[in-house]
Amino acid sequence: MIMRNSSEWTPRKRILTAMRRGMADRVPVIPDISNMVPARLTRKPFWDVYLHDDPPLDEAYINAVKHYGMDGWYIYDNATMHEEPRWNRKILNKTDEEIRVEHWIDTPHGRLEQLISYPVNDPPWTIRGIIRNFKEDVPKLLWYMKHKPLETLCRHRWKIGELGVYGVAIETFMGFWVWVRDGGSMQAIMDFFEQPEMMKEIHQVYLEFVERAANHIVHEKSDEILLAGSASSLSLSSPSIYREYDLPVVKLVSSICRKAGVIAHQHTCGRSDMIVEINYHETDVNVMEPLERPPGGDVNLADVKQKFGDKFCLKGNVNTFETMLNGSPKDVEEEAKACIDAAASGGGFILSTGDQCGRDTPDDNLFALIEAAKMYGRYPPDKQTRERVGEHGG
Amino acid sequence: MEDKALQDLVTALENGYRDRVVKITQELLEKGVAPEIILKSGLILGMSLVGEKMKKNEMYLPEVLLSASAMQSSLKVLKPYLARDRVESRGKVVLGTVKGDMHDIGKNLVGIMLQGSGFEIIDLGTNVTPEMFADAVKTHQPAILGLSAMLTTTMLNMKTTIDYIGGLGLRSKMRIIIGGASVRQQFADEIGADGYARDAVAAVEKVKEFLA
Repeated sequence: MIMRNSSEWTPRKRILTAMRRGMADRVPVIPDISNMVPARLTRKPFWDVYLHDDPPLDEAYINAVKHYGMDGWYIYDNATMHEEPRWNRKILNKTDEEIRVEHWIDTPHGRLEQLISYPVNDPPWTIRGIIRNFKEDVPKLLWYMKHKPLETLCRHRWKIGELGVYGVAIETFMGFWVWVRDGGSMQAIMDFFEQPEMMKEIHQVYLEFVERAANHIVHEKSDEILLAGSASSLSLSSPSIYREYDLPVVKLVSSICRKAGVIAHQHTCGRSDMIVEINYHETDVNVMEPLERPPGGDVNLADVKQKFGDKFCLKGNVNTFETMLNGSPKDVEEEAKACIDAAASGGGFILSTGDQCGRDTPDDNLFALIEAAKMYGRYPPDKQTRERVGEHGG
Repeated sequence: MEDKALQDLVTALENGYRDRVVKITQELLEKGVAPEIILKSGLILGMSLVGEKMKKNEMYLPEVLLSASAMQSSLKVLKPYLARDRVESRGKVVLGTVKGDMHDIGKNLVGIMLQGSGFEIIDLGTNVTPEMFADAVKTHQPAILGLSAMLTTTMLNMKTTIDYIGGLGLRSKMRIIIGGASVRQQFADEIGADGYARDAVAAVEKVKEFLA
């Protein structure tokens, strides 16, 4: 049944309804501004947000949700990267452009270290990853993953309230490995070929950690678990690596979610068409995003809706570069309308962007996206929308 | 016999079998096959097939990296013989990700595919200042300078780099190509780059076009 009075629909209820493939008052709209845009809106150096928590990124995001009048999606508690006990930090160098900070934690096998740069106007990036020497550093990491306490993981559960859904992220195995591995994605990929036995051992420990984390998260009544799988993209990875290393994580987490009645939501940007299909047949994932279209991705939204819309809520996919960053508000409106026509029919669609919006995405374009959902995404569709969708065969 | 071994080399390279690629390379050299033939009819041909497959989504980055790793191992074996025979590369390309940007996957892939096409690559890495680019141009005198940027903020440093190099009078014998997720042809035109490539395969085509 559709509740007609939109005041009855909070953003959280609206999103959860769509995630369960239902129809709320309208299509929810969640441009992915999880990172750079909220930091920009603070008008402070980015290191204030990312290093000094002034304000913390999650609070900057909630302020951005209010600023744009959008539906919110809180994903700032990440089980994989959860720092508990808190890592030690030491500022090594500060210039006008960046602050370099060493992070470390001691384990019975020795110290785990990471060197991170916090630029003044961009998010932080890792200069030196945790795993530099395979033989020396992997035992420390395995100990850390086995012993990391998770009791405080969902401590920010209250922050988003009815402004949006609360999700806790768990990285796919590729996401985890790229995060910890020194030498970047290329080295991380080569490890699968050069250190296969060691990678299998690390994978097993990670699966055990993921099981522990997922059970804890559903127990804490999170609205969803986000399978953070940017690095699982087939722009970076391959179907065989996805099947061997990531799919077991996705199956495990989505199965735990299904049993607990919690949404399992996967983000895999770039080329992901094949991953959508694999997940459709082999997992309990409920939501797939961001369904990036060419040139960055390979997803056709209407096609995915037709083939997999009976299982997945789809979230996407207005292009972040061509449209959100470099297009006009009219371009945004047109592409948003096309997305709604392609995927909103019957519910189970969240209007969003094809990946995270860049820092300099114009405010007018973000407002245009949100307005498009309110204007063209109403349920039940009005006559004009029905005719338009009929014309386009959506 | 030689053709069959070269075909085996191409197949092993496509499959990323590093040890086999090295073994066949050594066997061909022992049989007296000219290193230039091994390079052109084995490695370059093999990597061009890899590029084609990548373009058609029949190969993925990890598999391309395996093939590239096999090619580099073979090149190590070949290098002294190529030097002995004075076989020259198709041209020098200096590559780097501009200042403030640590992203390197696309840039590395461009380097791999160009190397696989017979070009000599001088990779300056990431977070490269205009001064570092200029020094490399003076030292190596490349035919092509490739600038990469992933971020919308750092792409502006492409213009700074181009302006700096132009100000030093270093552009007359060199073309500048830019690429990266946030970059488009229009931006290349605006900042005075000579070309734009949307991916590694397009970068190889653009370099070949400029050096034809």
